[in-house]
Amino acid sequence: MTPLLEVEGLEVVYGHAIRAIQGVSLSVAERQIVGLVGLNGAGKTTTIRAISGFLPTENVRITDGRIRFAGTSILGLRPYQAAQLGIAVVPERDKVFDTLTVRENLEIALIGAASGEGPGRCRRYRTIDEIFALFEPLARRANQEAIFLSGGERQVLAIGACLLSCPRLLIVDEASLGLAPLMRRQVLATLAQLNRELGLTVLMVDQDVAGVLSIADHGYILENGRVVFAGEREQLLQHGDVQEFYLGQKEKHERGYRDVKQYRRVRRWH
Amino acid sequence: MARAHSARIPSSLPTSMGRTLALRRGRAQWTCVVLAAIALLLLPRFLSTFWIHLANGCLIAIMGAVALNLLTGNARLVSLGQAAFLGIGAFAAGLLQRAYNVPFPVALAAAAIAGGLVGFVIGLLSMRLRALYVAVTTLVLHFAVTTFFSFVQAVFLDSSGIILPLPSLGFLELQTPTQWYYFLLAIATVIVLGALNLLRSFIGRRWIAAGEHDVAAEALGVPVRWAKLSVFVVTSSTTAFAGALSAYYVGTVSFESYHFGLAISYLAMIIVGGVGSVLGSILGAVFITLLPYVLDHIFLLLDLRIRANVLAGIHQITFGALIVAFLLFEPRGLAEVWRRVSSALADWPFRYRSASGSAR
Repeated sequence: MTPLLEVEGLEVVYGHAIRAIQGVSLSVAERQIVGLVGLNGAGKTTTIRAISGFLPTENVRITDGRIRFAGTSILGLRPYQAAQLGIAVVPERDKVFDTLTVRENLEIALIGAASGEGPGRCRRYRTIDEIFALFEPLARRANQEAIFLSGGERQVLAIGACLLSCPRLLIVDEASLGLAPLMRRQVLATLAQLNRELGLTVLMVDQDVAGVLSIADHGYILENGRVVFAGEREQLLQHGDVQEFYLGQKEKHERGYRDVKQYRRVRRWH
Repeated sequence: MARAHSARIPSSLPTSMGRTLALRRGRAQWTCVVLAAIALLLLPRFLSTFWIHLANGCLIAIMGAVALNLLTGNARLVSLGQAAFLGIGAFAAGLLQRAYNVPFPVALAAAAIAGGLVGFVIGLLSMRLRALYVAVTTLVLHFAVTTFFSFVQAVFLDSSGIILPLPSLGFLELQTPTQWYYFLLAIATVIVLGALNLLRSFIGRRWIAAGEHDVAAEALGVPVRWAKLSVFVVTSSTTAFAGALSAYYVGTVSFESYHFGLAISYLAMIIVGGVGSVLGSILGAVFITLLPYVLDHIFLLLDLRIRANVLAGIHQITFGALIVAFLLFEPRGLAEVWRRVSSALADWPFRYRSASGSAR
C-alpha cells in the first residue's frame, strides 16, 4: 500500500545561501501517528511548510525532492489547495482570528472545507457542536471573541478548526507549545483518540520527544536538515542516543548543552 | 454550511443569558430600526435646505466609508486610494455623459465598472503584498490617477472640468435636495445592508480571515489571494459608484476635488467611527462630514467672529486632534461608544444585567 504522504529527497534553500533541508525523506502511512522531532532550527517547520504548500516563497526555494500525497504530487500547490485536498495544518503561531468569536473561527474552517471535497468524506466532526462536545472549554466561550482566549484555548481552538476542515492528514506544529502539562497530555490524548477511533492520520512536529513518542507509532529525528534516525516507537525509545539527548535518561554524569553540541559535531557531522 | 449559520446562540449554553440576549436583540433592535427608518424618512420635513444638503453629503460619505471599512477594517488592506476611486467614478460618468450623453443609470453603471476594473488591477498588484506595501501601492495609484485627470482636464476639457446636467431616472427627476435625499437614502440603505450581509456570508468571512492571519486562513482552505482580489474589486466599484453619484449631485467634475486630504478624511471616518464595523462607518461618515459645520455653528452661537483662514486652521486642528484622541482613548471608535451607551440604556436603571435573568 502506498503511504498517504511521501517526501523524498527534499532540499530547501533559504536565500541562496543556507541549506535548511538537505535531503529529507519521510513517509506517513494511513492511520498512523508519526512524530517529527528535533531541536530548534533542525528544519521541522520548514519541512511541514513545504508539505502544506507555504513554500516556495520569494527567498525560500525548494531545490530538489518530491512530495506526494495520496499518490499524486502536491509540489507547487497553493496552501489552500493543499488544505482542500485534506492536508490540515495547525500553524505554530497566528492560528486563530482574534476579532471573530470562537464559533465564527470554527465557521472559517467550514467555509474553507466547503469549497473542497471536504464534507463528503467526513464521518465525524462535521458540525461545530461536535467540536464543542469534544473540547468543553470552547463551548463555554462560544460567543466570545478569540482575543480573550488563553494560550491553551487558542491551541485547542486551532485544532478544532482543523478537525472541522475534514483532514485526511492533520499536521500539528508544536501542539504542546505554551500548554500546561495537564492540557498538553489532554491534547495528546485527544489526538491519539481521534487516531484510534476515526483512523485520523497525524504528523506531529514537536520538541517534546517524550510526549510525541507516548502516542506516535513512528518517529523521525531531524538534525540540521537531515533525518538522523528513523524508526518505530520502540526502536526510538530503546536507542541510546535518543534516550540520552532527547529523553534525558541514562545519564552517567551531568551533561550540558555544550556536550550535546560537541557530540553532534564529532559523531554525526560527516 | 447551512448548519453553521443557523443558530447564533448555542443550545448547549447552560445559562439563560443567551436567550435573554436573543429576546432583547429581537424586540429592541426591531423597535430601533423602525424608529430610525421613520426618523430618516421624515427628516427633510424638519430641516432647512442647507441641512438637507449636508445630509446628502453624509449619505454619499457613508457609501464610501462603508466600502473603505470593508477593505481596510475587515480585509486589513489599508487604502490611501479612496479619493482616486471616487475620482475614477466621477470622471468615468462625467466623460461618458459629455461625450455620448448617456442616461444617468448607464453612467452610474459605467462608473462602477471602471472602479471595479482599476480595483482589479490594484488587487492583482496587492495580492502578494502585506499591509504597508498595499498602502504604498494605493498611494501611488492616487497620484497617478489625479495627475492623469489633471492632464485630461487641461488638454481636453474646460478649466472648470465637466458640467453635468441634472439627472433623471425616467420616472423620477432628481432636482431638489429633498428628491436627492430620498434617492441617496435608498442607495445608501442598499449598500449598508449589502455590506452587513457580505460580512455574514462566506465571502465576507473569507475577507476577514485573509486579513487577520493569511497563514492560518490558507491552512484552513481559504484562498487568500482571491479574497484580496475580490475585496478590492467590490469595494473599489462601490466607491467609484459613490463618486459618480456625488459628481452628479454637485454638478461638476474637476480633478481638484479629489485631493489627498479626501482620502485621509475617509480613513479618519473609519478610525473615528470604528474600524471593521459597518455601524462605525456610518457614524464616522456623519461625524466627519458634519464636524466643520457644527464647529462653525458653535462659533456663530458664541458670537465669535473668526476670520475664514483662521477658521480653516481650527477645522484642521480639530480634525487631527480627534483622530489622535480616538486612536488613544477609543480605538474601536464611535461604534463602541454607541454599543456601551445603548447597553447602558437597555439596562437602566440598573448598573448591569443580572446574569441569571431574574428580577432581584
